[in-house]
Amino acid sequence: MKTKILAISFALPFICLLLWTLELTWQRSHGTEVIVSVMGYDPRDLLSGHYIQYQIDWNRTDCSQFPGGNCPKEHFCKEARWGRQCRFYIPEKHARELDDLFRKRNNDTMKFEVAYSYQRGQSAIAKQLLINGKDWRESLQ
Amino acid sequence: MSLSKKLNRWKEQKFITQKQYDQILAFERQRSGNTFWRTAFIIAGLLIGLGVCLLVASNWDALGAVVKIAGAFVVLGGLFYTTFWCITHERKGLTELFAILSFLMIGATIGLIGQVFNLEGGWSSFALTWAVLGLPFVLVSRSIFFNVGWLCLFFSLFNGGYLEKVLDYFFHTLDSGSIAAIVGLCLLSYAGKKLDETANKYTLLPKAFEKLMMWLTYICVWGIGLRWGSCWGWERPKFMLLANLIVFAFFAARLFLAVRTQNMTSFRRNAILAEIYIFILFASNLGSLFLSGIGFILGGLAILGMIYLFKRTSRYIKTMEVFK
Repeated sequence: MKTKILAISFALPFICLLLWTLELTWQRSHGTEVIVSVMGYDPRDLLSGHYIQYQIDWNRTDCSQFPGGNCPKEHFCKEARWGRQCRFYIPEKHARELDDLFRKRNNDTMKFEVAYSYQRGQSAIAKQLLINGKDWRESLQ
Repeated sequence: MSLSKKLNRWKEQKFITQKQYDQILAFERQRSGNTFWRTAFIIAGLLIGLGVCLLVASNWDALGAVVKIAGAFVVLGGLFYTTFWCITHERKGLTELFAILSFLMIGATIGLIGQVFNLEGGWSSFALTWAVLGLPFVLVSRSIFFNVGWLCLFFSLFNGGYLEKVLDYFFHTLDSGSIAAIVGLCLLSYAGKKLDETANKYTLLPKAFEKLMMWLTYICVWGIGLRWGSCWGWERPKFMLLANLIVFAFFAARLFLAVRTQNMTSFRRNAILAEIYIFILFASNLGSLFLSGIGFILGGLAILGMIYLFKRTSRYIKTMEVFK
């Protein structure tokens, strides 16, 4: 009996994490792909650790991609003190290069966008960071 | 005095027989060996687990997201199974190692999932998921530091704003609320102790809670003493007496309890802490003297004096009637 309880209590965290991952995978692969324009809220602080922090520039985003032609702002990113805050994780070794690219963007030479997987009524999942319409890896090369 | 010396003395006095001598020595050697191995396993587990967390944090892009996630689950499953195997086969040291590794790997996996799916959840959602999913591994561990670590993780859920307010209160106010907070922490510690008496067989969490609350009480008392009671604190004439009364009343209570429970270690520790506090009170009166050359010499001499005083205190406490 004791062994069974122990086995169940150890299996539960594993199952929970697995189900969570599967749910996120399903959500990501079954959503409609939408592309939103992004802007940095502080160019000196865009890269914190290994993720990029940004806000969505709804004024420059095509809302016709969404059902009803309305941008569902509440389903994108997390509410923070200074507005809705978004994250895109990047590998450590490209952090500096991307930071430089974000700085150049201030001169309007580049357009930054994020491709999201979006399903009505659910939180959108960021899939890809795009620089001038291409994957960020290609732009770094 | 070493155990073998003590045992030899007891054997000479015919308090114990040769057989008892051998049995005690064998038992203590095995026990101390267990402690050593267990500590070594805990440190190894922490290092490996933290290393895995750092690897995940560096977001190594040589592997694809699917490979990373699948790899994490394979490692996680392997660790969970090994922990289970260690418990069922009564490998105590290895249980500690794999329980810590499993716990840290849960955190690393949550971090990895967040990274792959670019989740925006903050610390509180991360900590809550980690604390809840990692709880079974904390419950099976007999390491007090691991249990205290889990409690710290759990308490970090109550957001920083609240903690900030509490610290702000302690820093800017000294009134009945401060005293109530200290009494409250002591009561929580006592509750943890009482709970531990019945739950110790199953888990160390109540004991860890007791320790954590007591450490927090000491931090609060010392904070009040240094902020309001010493000459380094400002507005001192207003609250100096009250602050020092709180500090000495606390030490007196701890010493009294140590005598009542015949806990010589606690008595000695608190007596020495009180001596250190008194030293700080005098040192704070000397102002910026400690920043000069003479101050350094005086400081060194004061430390030598303190060491002498601590040794005398320890020796005196050992001879005290109440501990015989």
